[in-house]
Amino acid sequence: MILDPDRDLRADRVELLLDEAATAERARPPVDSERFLARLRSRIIPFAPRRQLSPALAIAALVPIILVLWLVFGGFGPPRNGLRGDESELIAELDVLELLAKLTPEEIEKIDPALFELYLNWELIDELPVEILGNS
Amino acid sequence: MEADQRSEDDLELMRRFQEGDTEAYEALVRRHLDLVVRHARRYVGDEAGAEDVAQEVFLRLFRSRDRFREPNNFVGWLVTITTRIALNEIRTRRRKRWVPRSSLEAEDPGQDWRASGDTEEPPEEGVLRDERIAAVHRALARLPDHQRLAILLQRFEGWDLAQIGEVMELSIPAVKSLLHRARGALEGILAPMLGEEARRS
Repeated sequence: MILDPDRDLRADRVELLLDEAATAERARPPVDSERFLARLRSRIIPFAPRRQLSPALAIAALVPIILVLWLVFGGFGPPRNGLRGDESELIAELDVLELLAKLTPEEIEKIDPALFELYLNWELIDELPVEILGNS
Repeated sequence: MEADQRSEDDLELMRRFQEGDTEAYEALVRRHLDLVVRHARRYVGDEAGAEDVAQEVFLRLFRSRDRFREPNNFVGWLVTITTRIALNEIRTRRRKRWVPRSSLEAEDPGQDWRASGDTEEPPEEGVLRDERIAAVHRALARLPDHQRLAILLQRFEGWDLAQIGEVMELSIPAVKSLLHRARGALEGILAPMLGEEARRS
């Protein structure tokens, strides 16, 4: 084993650099919470109050989602076509959007975002441009 | 003790929020806003982007209140969800070939770390310090996600090993090992800069 005499010096220097960066961060002014909350309130209003789905409606909403996930992921297995990362994610998004385009915005709103979190680790519903999805 | 009291307060606010009290929700936002923005900024690198991430975090909290099951570790949940959303934001920016909103912004984790207005410092020292801090953040961004999170929580938030372990679902020895590897990796990444400094001195 080769001993590196500079190793301790480098380790100490890295510790000092981390301290310096953390100190600089603490010197930053706090976020304006009222401005932040004003923006947050304007985004929350369209979502409140939260509607509760009946079990039958929830199951009805679940069926097409499961179907499309089955088609996209081939039985929840590894990505098809050997695609990985952004490519396969993009195709998954397009496939899901294609299916969702057949639903009305009202139907889409009733789909619980947790379903997307569960299967895709991704809250598509939050990012979905519902306004462009007409009743096709 | 203080942390326990804070956690109890969070628990009470969360309980009231789940019963429909929006003032309790806003109190939770005010209480944890700086932590969330700070943590997000370490990933996305710019203030505006960090606030966007924080908006998503608190919106997600609002929308998921009915199914929120982790009130006992509220701060841990916030840090976890902030990390996930910030990493998603970085991926989205890369996918969309994100264009900075101004010439000062760039997709560079080290770009927005200037400390505020220390006017007594000679300008050249400030510039060198800002460069060092930016280099540290760039180095942190090159660590694997779990090493980066552990070192951010320890060195920037001052969390102890048990707190880090709780959030990362790791034992204390595992956290120690993770931090050791993270420091080793940082030394390697920063070696050229440290060598340059040594030559200059």
